[in-house]
Amino acid sequence: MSQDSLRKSGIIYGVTIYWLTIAGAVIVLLGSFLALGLGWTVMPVNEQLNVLLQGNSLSLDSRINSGDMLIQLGLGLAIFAIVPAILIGVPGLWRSGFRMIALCGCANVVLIIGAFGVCFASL
Amino acid sequence: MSLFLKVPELTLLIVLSIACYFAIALVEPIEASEFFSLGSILSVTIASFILSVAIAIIAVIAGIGGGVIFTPIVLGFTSFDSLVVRATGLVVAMFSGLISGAPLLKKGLVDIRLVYICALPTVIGGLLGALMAFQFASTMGPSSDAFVRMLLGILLLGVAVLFITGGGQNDYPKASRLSGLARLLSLDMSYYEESVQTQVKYSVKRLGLAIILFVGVGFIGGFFGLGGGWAMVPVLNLVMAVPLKAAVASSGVLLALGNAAAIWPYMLYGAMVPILVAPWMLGQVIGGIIGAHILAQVKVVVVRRLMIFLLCLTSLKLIYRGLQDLDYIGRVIS
Repeated sequence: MSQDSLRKSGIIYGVTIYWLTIAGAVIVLLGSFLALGLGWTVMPVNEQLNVLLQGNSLSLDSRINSGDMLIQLGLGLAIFAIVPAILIGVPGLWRSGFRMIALCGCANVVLIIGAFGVCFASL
Repeated sequence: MSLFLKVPELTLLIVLSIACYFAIALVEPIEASEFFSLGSILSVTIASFILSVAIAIIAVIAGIGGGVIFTPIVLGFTSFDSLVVRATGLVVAMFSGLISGAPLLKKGLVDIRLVYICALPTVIGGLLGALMAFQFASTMGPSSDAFVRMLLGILLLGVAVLFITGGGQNDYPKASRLSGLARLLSLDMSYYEESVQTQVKYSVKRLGLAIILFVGVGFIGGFFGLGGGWAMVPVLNLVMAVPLKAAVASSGVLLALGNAAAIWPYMLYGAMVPILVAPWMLGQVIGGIIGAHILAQVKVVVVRRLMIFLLCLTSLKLIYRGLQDLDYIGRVIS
């Protein structure tokens, strides 16, 4: 079993997440500017803060054409970065004999996608 | 200064963030309400961003995840709905771990085998905890916030004790023969320790017990929006015999992966408020990069003392708030 493939798989995992998280951060910045700067939000920002500071919850209907949605998209991209990060490194791990580790990685992917799917379906 | 030249993407993110908030201040589109002026909204946003950078640096150095600092402070000192705070807390816990992974994996401090294996029980526990948080809120009604504050206060006092009595930690546990599950997975590992310029070898122990503990850690992290990093270092170091430095580094990476499923219920059921989360996420990304690069040079003892002080202060405040909201304090005084 090659230690190099382990290290390589780890670096692929880290670097993929690193750059996709930075991309997500840029999208979040853009969304912040649209929401706070241009007031492009589902609900006015001061009203959102009023509701929150009074201890109430918000049920925002984030539409695709709002700054809020862009922020959610940026966050989602960074979180979902884990999926390709694992999947790109898994074949290398499998070929090098680390099959149980590769399967653990795949199981993590299934759980993350499954959790998203179940929550999304129950909306 | 050299860090900003060495990591141009960090410089770019900082410049873009400053430009964005400066542009928002110039445009002034938000109408002032009786509660908020534009200045106060912008001040809250910028203060959140700066605080988030500071929390991320501390979190990466201590290997704890920022949620354990963020969630108790905001729950203890503001009236925000607890589900909204816990959702933001998970973002704070996750993102410094997401971004700091690459430098730590490149240095070899984190072994990807450990991450994939330990993340599985953490993901399952975290998801159950997050779903339970919504169930608890709907079952208990308005008093659920008070219970959450009080339970979190008690939990944090325990965490503070764990940090105070953390003197028994093993910097470099001895490598020994693998057994059981660890042998099946060939969990013999090593990393290069820069401070003593030597290769440190270690063998993972008690993997079965650690897996059970990680389910519990994930559950508490998902339920309270803490992330669970505060418990990962002790489990990795004291139970699995991973050297302290490798345990701290692995904890952050594990935290990000472990909470990736728990965050979906909060996001999709509307507990995540984008304008509130945005400055915290950006701060975690910038602070996470800085923290990962200065990890080797900072005295962890200083960070630990600061953490203990913050944990004690916020836990007492949380217990007080919980009792107050449940009307116990009013009854005792009258």
